[in-house]
Amino acid sequence: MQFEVLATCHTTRARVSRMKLAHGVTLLPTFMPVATQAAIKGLTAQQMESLGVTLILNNTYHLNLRPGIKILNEIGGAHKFQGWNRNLLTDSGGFQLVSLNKFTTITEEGALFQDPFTGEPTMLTPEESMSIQHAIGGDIVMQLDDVVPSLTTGPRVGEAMQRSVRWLDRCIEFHQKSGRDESQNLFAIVQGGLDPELRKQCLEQMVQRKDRIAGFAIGGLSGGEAKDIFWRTIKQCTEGLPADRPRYAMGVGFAEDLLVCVALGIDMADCVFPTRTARFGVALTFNGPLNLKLKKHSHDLKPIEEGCPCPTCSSGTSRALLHHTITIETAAAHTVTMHNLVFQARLMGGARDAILAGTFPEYLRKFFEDYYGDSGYPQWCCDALKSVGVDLLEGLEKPKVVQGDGARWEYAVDQ
Amino acid sequence: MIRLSRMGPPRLTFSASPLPSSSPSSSHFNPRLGCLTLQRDDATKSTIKIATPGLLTTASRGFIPHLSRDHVNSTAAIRWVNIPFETFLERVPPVPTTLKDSLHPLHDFFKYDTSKHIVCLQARDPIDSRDMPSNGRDHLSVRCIRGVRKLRISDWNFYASSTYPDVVVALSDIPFTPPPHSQKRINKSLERSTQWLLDSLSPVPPNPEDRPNLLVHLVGGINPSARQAFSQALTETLFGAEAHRVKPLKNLDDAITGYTFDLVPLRKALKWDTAADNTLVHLIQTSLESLPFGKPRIVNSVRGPQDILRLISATGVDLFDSQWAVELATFGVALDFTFPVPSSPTGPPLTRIRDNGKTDIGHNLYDGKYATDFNRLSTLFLDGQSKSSTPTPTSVTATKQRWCPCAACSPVSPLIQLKHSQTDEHVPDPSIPLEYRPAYTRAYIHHLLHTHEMSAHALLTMHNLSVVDHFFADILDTLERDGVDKFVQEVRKFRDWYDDDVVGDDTEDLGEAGEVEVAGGILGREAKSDWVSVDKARGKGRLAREKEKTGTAVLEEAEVV
Ligand SMILES: [Zn+2]
Ligand SMILES: [Zn+2]
Repeated sequence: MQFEVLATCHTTRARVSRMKLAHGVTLLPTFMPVATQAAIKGLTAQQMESLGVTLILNNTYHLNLRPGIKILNEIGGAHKFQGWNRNLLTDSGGFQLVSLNKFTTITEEGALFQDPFTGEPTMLTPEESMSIQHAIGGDIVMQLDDVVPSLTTGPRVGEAMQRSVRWLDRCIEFHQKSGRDESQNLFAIVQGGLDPELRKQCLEQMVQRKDRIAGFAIGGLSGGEAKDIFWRTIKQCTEGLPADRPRYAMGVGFAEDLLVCVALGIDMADCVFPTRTARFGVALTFNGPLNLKLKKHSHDLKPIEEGCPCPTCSSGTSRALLHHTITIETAAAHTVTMHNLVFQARLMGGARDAILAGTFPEYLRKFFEDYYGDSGYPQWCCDALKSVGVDLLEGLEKPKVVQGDGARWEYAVDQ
Repeated sequence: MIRLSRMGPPRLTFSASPLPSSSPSSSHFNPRLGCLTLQRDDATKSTIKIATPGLLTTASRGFIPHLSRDHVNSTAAIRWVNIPFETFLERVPPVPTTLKDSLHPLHDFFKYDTSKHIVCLQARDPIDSRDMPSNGRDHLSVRCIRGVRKLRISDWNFYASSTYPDVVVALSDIPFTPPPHSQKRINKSLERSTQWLLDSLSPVPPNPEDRPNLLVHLVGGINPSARQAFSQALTETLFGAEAHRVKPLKNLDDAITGYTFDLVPLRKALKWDTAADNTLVHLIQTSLESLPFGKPRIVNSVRGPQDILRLISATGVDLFDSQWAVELATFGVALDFTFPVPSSPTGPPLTRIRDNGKTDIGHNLYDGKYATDFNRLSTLFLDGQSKSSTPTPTSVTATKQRWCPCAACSPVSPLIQLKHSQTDEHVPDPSIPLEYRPAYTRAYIHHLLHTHEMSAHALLTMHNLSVVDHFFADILDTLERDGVDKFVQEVRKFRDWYDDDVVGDDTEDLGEAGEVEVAGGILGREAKSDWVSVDKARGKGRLAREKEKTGTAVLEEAEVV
């Protein structure tokens, strides 16, 4: 991996970097769409490429079940399998093991679980996770970590953090011996739950191993914790991580979360949100999400968002047509999915341009004004951005601020 | 009446040349070669040509199933799009009628390309076989997502004029009440259909070029004399009040561009009896007998290649809908057949050969044997990459190798890549020529099907439509080069070679009659049953829970993170 910081924001901790991997260059900060099962919902690899996406994520747990390693080895990896010739990141498979299998037990050796097909007890060790990710062939691979739900408290959190460090060492060892570390780049995952002291310890230990690690992810968040704790943890981590390595916030996908994370120094993020929400009829815009199922869109001939370069908006596909078809025709879901992915890419691309131009604080203010102007700014976003020198409310006559964590969604169904 | 468009309708012309054959039957029903041409007199001046026999596609709520707009535009097989209107009656006014400033409201609303796509408006979805309440004197019963609606004839005429379709199908009183239908009911159907046609025509613009391109269902159900009567009424000279209403027309047929047949209501009336295929042929012949030769004949809801070949051979039908091929794509089938049948039956088996000795027309990609099959979708069609690397045959006698231009077999590097910041480096170099990417493999589509990924159906739909398009090109070729007699021989060979029976011995457990209407013989039925069981397995899990939670249909849910 070649990683180069091109510019940093004069006020916040945001930065623009150029990351060159085996399948091309990806500019950071970026959002990574999730192709869980080796496909972005309804789209082809060529369509993804045409949207200007250069880095996607595959889930190791799922690809290991289907199509399985044997088949991926035969065809020469997940890139070839799905026809994707840009960059690819795979997770370790650990997260799904815990979230999808009730009976997974963690031992020092690895995660013991029941094979969902055969029912056989199966062990996913750090070495095994590496070896599966080698077969998949992602340009970035993730260490196996000991995942506990975000809201867990007590000694288990500390235990999981320490074990994640030990498993990181095993991953590094295995990865380097395999000789795959030339083309595939290993990222560590900082754990420690919501406890600043544990995060601190984890950061110290992992940063010590920096020379053998291509990048760092922040795990154990986006699991229902209070937003106030979320941003403080992100901030603590980005402050503790080295500047010459990419920083990846796992499971982050709401627009406001993404921009706050970028301001705090995050370079990469992934989430199923934009693709999943599209299938439920929600289109993302700079003026807030639109629920296309609402009757008010039934005769609206405007596109989802004026000026959006996505194939949906640039062809003039109307909200009315999408209202008529969404959640009924698969093609409507593809249409909104393309828009939502382009929205995420524009949000991050706009951030890159603003950071380069030295106007990132203004970019943030403009975004929040357009997105939340009428309904009120989330308190936590104001706090988080203030902590890096941007006062969203500055100069506003009657700033409206709302407490709580929720995003503003048009989720009511009125049919 | 259906009023004239702002610009005058585009000119739709058809030329058909009869082909001689040694058969004693009338050349009126012989296979024929033709060309449908649509010319726009607007600023685009575009011309769309469809060589016939050829295919048309039918939209669902305006979309070609599974295909996003870029995929529609890159699929050359899509030239004629039928748009059933009934679902838009859910809202008042129907939204496609509200594009006041558009010259091509349907193209603009649904994002079809006026230079590539002929858009044909019709009231009902020709594939829907469900029972319906009776139609009335002034209304047609239609179906929306929230139930049955009454479509008033006058409203339809207004909708059809305010949306400026390239082609419009006149309303007909085709009963969808459970058969059998009494003589009285059939008579009523004839009377209403004729009346509604008069309503849609009157008053008639004096200049023929201002009249809409109108298709008419040839009605009469399964009663030959009723069919005969209806067709004859179209060409009979009008008298009295009727003549006055449609002045200066001498007869109704003078205002008709072409004839259309929906097979679903006929098959429903024949109680889905597959032995009745010859009856169908006879019924269509009866309708066409007294009508002029030179107008296009269009058939909806065919069930596959055998159906198509039969109707080309015996009735001279020109355009066929391709919903069966889209449905097979939904069920995970990649078509892999040719006409004439492949000449070298030696070598690796192309598609599966069944116990009845017949060959499948495609691959059921749900089947476990495709999990490790890294070949392109069709054995009989090269993909873009292998086509580029295969030297063109040097001698004229060498058989030309077919290739499939679809986005699954011949994906190309995207011409446009969006740039999201100044720093983005991946903008393609326009000087680099179009480059084919490796074809998507059967193994990949197999994987997508088993993981409920919708991309599978998008890729298969494009592929299947391209294969069907090639099938028609091959039919045309055979007719043109070898004539009707040879064509008829090849049709016979095709019938013996490919398994395409709609009902086989294995169908007892497939539920109610209408449900066995899957194309592709045993293959189609197996694929559908695999599709159902994978779908059910998924319904038990997350999908079912989310359905409960949201109270809405969820298209897809395998994304679990
Ligand atoms: Zn858009
Ligand atoms: Zn193809």
